[in-house]
Amino acid sequence: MTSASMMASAKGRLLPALTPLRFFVAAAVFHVLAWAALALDWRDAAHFAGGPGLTLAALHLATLGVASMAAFGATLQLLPVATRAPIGSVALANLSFWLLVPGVAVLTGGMAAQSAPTMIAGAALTGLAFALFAALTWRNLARAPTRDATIHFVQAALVALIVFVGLGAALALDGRFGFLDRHMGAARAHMTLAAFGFFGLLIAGFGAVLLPMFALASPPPQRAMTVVLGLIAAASAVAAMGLAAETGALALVGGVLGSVAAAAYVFVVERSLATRLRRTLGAEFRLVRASEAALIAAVLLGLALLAGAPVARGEALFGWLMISGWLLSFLTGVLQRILPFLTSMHVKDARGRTPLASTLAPRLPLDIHSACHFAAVLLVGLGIALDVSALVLAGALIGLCGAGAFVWFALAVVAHLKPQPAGQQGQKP
Amino acid sequence: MRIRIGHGATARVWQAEDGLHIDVRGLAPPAPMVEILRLIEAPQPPDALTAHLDREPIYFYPELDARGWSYDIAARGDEGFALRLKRDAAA
Repeated sequence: MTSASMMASAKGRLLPALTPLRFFVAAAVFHVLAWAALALDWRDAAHFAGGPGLTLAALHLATLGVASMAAFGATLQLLPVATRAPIGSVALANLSFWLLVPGVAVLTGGMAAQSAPTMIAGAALTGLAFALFAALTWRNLARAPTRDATIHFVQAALVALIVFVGLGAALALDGRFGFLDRHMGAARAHMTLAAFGFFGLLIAGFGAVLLPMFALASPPPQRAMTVVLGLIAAASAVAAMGLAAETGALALVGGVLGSVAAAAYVFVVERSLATRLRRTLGAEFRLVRASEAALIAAVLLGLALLAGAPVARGEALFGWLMISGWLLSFLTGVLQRILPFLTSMHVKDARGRTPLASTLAPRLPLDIHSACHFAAVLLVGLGIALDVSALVLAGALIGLCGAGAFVWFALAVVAHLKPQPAGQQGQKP
Repeated sequence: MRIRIGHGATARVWQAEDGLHIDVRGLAPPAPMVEILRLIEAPQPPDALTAHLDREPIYFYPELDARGWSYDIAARGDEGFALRLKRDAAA
């Protein structure tokens, strides 16, 4: 027996193809919008220090539009594999998508238009999507018969999610009612918990499974992952508290912990990859390794800023390294493997077998995306550092081309899916 | 025989009357898939083996197809999942 007949039973463990894949395609579309918003605000982006406008919209299109979409899709499909328990309700998982897409669109539209009521409406929809996602994920964790390290990462990420979404809602309302004493402190704490607490923990937790899977390597040992988990959680919590209270010493301790956490994470991942069976790593690892370098650079710059180093436009550069250099590089790298991988589970080749995922992924758009992404991150970073707006514009336009190529790739992959009769769609795992 | 995996976890490998067996139950993903692949990509690989897993390895099948191995479910129950693997003649 080969995959042709066995996949019939295997599909019972998969969500319907479109449930995770629509999150990933939406992430690719929001990726385009993020670069477009940055290109439109090219004159002011280098001086961004918070506050509504196109740059804040670009930032949230990247974090909520790209990173959250990817995190929702990946978690809904991969968490049941780690927990060995079903996700619960495919309908509710789909509903979280239909809340998140308009939520992000309205919220970022309100930011771009500097409209507090629109931002509040978008934040409410986005908050509902996150609440539903958190409830689905928490219920899945509660049913898990195992306690793999990944599960603890997701639990800690959910705690960070609750706090950063609450802070985000307070910031949106503060734009209208002005009740926060330390708006910028709360905004910095919100960003820290979202980037390092939520996305950082999910990236580290799922990355410890996905990256060895892509490279056919042994996963990192549980003990090492527990140390990484403790460091990221402690760094995020301490830094967020210090930033919210505008207590420099506490924030600095958080920065030191964050630097150690980032170094530990990269060390543990690279040590795992050293055991790989695949001699030549795929192109996605160029993006993954660039993301590791950007993460280290971002936390070191953050540490310098917390220590009082006079770095011109340092906060904007820190945000750029963190969001574009680390998050977007990692996510687009991983998505270029997950998209064809999950699609392959729902299609058959000419011989009736499950095809290798690589055969579904067109190479050209991925090469264009990678080249554009690296050039864009570098140019915009230089534009911010040197205060040259033309470099920001050039980088944003190149990034826009790369994001367009990524949409091309995503659509080419999902085009392999053929409509099936309702009764043959994937079921609850 | 036990095979040391990565930085501590182990898979159990033994020879029985019906051939070679590998038990990867209890290992965190993707270690089960990787350890079976290590065995079939060894310098002197077996022609057949039985793998004992916690669950059906749905993401593993395309990798086996690509390496010219066929597979069949040998057992499925509360104790886990057994997969009989055989190298295709042409592989």
